[in-house]
Amino acid sequence: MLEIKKLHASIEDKAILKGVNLSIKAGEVHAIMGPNGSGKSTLANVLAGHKDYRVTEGTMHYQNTDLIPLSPDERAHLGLFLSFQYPVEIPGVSNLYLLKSALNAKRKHLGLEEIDAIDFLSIVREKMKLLQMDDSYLYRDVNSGFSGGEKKRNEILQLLLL
Amino acid sequence: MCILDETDSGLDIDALRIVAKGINLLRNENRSILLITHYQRLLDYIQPDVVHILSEGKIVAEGDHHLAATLEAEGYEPFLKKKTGAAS
Repeated sequence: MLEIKKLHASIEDKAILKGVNLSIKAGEVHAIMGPNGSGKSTLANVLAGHKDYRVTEGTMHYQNTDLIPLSPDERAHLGLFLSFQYPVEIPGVSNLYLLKSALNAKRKHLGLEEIDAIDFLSIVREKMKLLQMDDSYLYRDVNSGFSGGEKKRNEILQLLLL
Repeated sequence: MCILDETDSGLDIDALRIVAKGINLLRNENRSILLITHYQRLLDYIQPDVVHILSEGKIVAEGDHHLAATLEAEGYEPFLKKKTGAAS
């Protein structure tokens, strides 16, 4: 599903990744561990297509598609999702609105109709129950004033929906 | 595919369990998951198929979930030494 070969990447001309090889098959769970400064977050950012990071050598393919020329948006449409270490707060935008927009953007990409509001609520509530999140999450602004644990749960909720 | 960067950082044990449960629910035959983590803690709840150890921009060791336990017990140092060989 993901094939990374001899990947080198830099930020501000500082080489961080120096030849990473990684092959992940469909359905597999892989863990990358390493001390501070080993390049873990750089690898996540490079996969997501963060503009501050530059691939200087090597290849990255997701489902046989070359990721390097693709924007973060295009990568997300392919089904590559990243959950951040520090989820962003978006004051003024409700969690419900964000989740519904994200799901509809994905559905649109797949050529599906927008999801019905009632159906959406029932799907999102079912996932929230699994994560022990109450309804108030839906109406609060995205991550605004959320504790660290609440933000992480909210990230997983997004992944479960998309 | 989901890439989770330090999803366990800053979580207390109850929140960690809930988040791990959510991640386990993401597991299915079509979806791959890449967990990026400092600590073995999260891997007590989510058993990965493969563990990779990254050091100075390269993968220096690979193994199954037992590797994470070894790492927790011995720290990173033995793995980092292995890479630099006789240099020290």
